[in-house]
Formats: sequence, structure tokens, C-alpha cells
Amino acid sequence: MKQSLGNTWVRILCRQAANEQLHCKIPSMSKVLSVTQLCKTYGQIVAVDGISFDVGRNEIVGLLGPNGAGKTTTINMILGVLAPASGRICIEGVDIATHRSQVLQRTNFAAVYAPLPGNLTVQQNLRVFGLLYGVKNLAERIEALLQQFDLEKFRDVKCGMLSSGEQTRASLAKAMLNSPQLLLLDEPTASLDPAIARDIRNKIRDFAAQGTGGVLWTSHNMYEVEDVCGRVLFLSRGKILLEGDPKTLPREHGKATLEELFISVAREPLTLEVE
Amino acid sequence: MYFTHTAAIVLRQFYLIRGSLSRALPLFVWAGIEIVLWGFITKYLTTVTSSGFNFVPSLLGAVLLWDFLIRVMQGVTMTGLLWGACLAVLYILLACWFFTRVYRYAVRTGLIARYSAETLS
Repeated sequence: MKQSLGNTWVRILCRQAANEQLHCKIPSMSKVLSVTQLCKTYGQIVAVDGISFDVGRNEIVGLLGPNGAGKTTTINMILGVLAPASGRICIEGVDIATHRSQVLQRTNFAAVYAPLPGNLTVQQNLRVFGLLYGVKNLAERIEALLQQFDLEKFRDVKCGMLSSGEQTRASLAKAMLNSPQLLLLDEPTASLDPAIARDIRNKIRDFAAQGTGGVLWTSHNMYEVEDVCGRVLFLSRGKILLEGDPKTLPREHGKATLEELFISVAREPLTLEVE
Repeated sequence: MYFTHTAAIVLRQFYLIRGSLSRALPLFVWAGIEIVLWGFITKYLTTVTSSGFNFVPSLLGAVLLWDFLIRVMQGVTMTGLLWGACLAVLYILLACWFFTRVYRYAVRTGLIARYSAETLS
């Protein structure tokens, strides 16, 4: 009896220790992504300088900033492609540094500069990525996504032969394959015509509203950001300068539009820092 | 989970080879060319060599060993370069050097010739 109780306690303590190791020190299940004091340096150059932010469930957060501000570096660190110099990234409370594979199964990514391999057809690409993500009932999932993204007629067309808009839709279908809890989108609508861009925006908005995941979105289209994002983070020289609702943020800083605010941040980040 | 990762990579290679003639053809063409080439060479050498020491099996053995080592070196070098495992390349180069020396030693001292003669007699 004593030994049995002892074993139970050992098991409980082991489980607690494993949970502590698995989860970040302050776990929060309402947050999909939690970034704390993230830094990245390339020699003497500081690309990302101690940024902290969260992405909640059903939330679309815009990561804005001029070229070279550190947006893509941040996304690459969240994806585990780049190792941060310091700081912590937790997805659904699980630290990416220690449980990379487990975390990446719940994450997905789409960017206009990372299209699907052009020498495979849309269906073949979705099948290969579905296996990589360990998607269950893959055939049904692929059918549903082909239908959702209006790609049925392109299922046997090589991705390299598709137009920009069709390639973006195929990339987004791939990004939705594993029903990710965190969707990272790096300028997903760049180089698309307004009609297709609106269609894509609606699909991503539906994803955020209907599922349990959150979206981190980078874009240079301020109209789009205002339309889609519930919250924006202005990044400049690796630091978050402003954070807030894209609809009210310009007025709070004496600007008429989000675009004007963006230009101010891009040109005079230090002035805004003082404000 | 890891099985599905491997399956994905294998499936991708299958799709690539199936969808591209320029990838599929060399798999068979080079093997075919080598078979025909060495078939004719062997046939010719058998007719010109004198009886006694059989030169053909030694030559074919050397060629096979050479080809095998080149393939191994190529495969491991590519993997090594891709994954940054330069030490593997070094090991293979050392192994190639070692086997070449062993083979040259065997030819020089007549080990292969004696072995062939003994096996055939």
C-alpha cells in the first residue's frame, strides 16, 4: 500500500515536472502565440530588439513596418527557421525551443515569396504537405480545401503553371491543411488584383472567425490591414513602437489614416518613440 | 508521425520522377549503356587474351569496385555538402584512398592474379 502511494506521488511529481518543462512559465491557453523579449542579431546588426506580443484565439494581428523592420525575421523565428539570439516563443503555451516538432504541427505559413513547388500539381503538393503535417483523413481534407479555395479545376495542373492569384490560393489551401492554431501570413495578397485580394481576405477572416486559431499577418497594404486586423503592431528597427486598433490608432497619434501613420513610423520612428 | 514524413519525401520523389522524362530516363539509360558497353568489352577481351591467367574477371572486379566507390563517394558527398557533414566526406575520401591502395597493392603483388588462377584451376 505504502509503495503504491509512493509510486503515485512519484508519477504525479514526474508529470508536474514534465508539464513545467513543456509549458512556458506563465501558460495561457487563450493566447495562441506568446512572444517574450525576442531578439535576433546578425553580427553587430540588431534585426529584432527585445519585442514582446501575443496573438489571441480568433484574432488577426497585423505586423506592420517598413522594409527591414524585422517582420520577416520575427515570422521566421516563430516558424523555427531562425534561432533567436534570446527570448521565448510559445505557441499554445508550448515552448518552440524545446518542442519544435510538436509546436510546428499546430502552425502553418503562407507567403507570396514562398509558393508551392512548381513541378508538382496542386493535388500532389497538398498530398505531400498533408503527409508532412500528419493530417488525418487526408483525401477528404484535400477535397474540402480544393472546393473551399475554388481549385477543383486546377487539381491536376502543375503549380508552376498557375497564375499569381491561383498560386496564392493553392498556398493558402496548403496553409489550412492541418487546421492550424497559428497561421502566419507574410504579405499573402501582394501582387494580387483587388478582387482576388478581397476574396482571399474573406477566406482568412472566415478561418479566424470560425476556428479556434489566430492569425499573424504582415502587409504593406494599409487599407487591407484596417479592413482585416483587429489589432496592429508597428515595428521599426526591430522594436515595437505602437500597438492598437487600426481603426482608432491613427487618430490617437494625430494622423488621418493608417497609411499616414505608417509613413511617420517609417520616416521618423524616434519622434514617435518620444511621443 | 516520422513514418508519414518519410512517406511524404518518397511520394514527392515518385511524383517528380513519374512526371518528368528527363528524370526517369537517366535511371535506365546509363545502366543500359554500361551493361552493353562492358558486355562488348568483356566479349572482346575474352577473345584476345591468352589462356592461363584470366584477365577479364580481374578487370571487371576492378571496374565494379571503382564504380561502386564513385557512387558511394558521390552519394555521401552530396549528402555531406547538403547537411554540412563534411566529416563524412573526409571519411569516404579516406576509405576510397584506402581501398585504392589495397587494390593497387593486390594487383602489384599478384594477389588477384593468383587468386583468380587458383579459383579457375
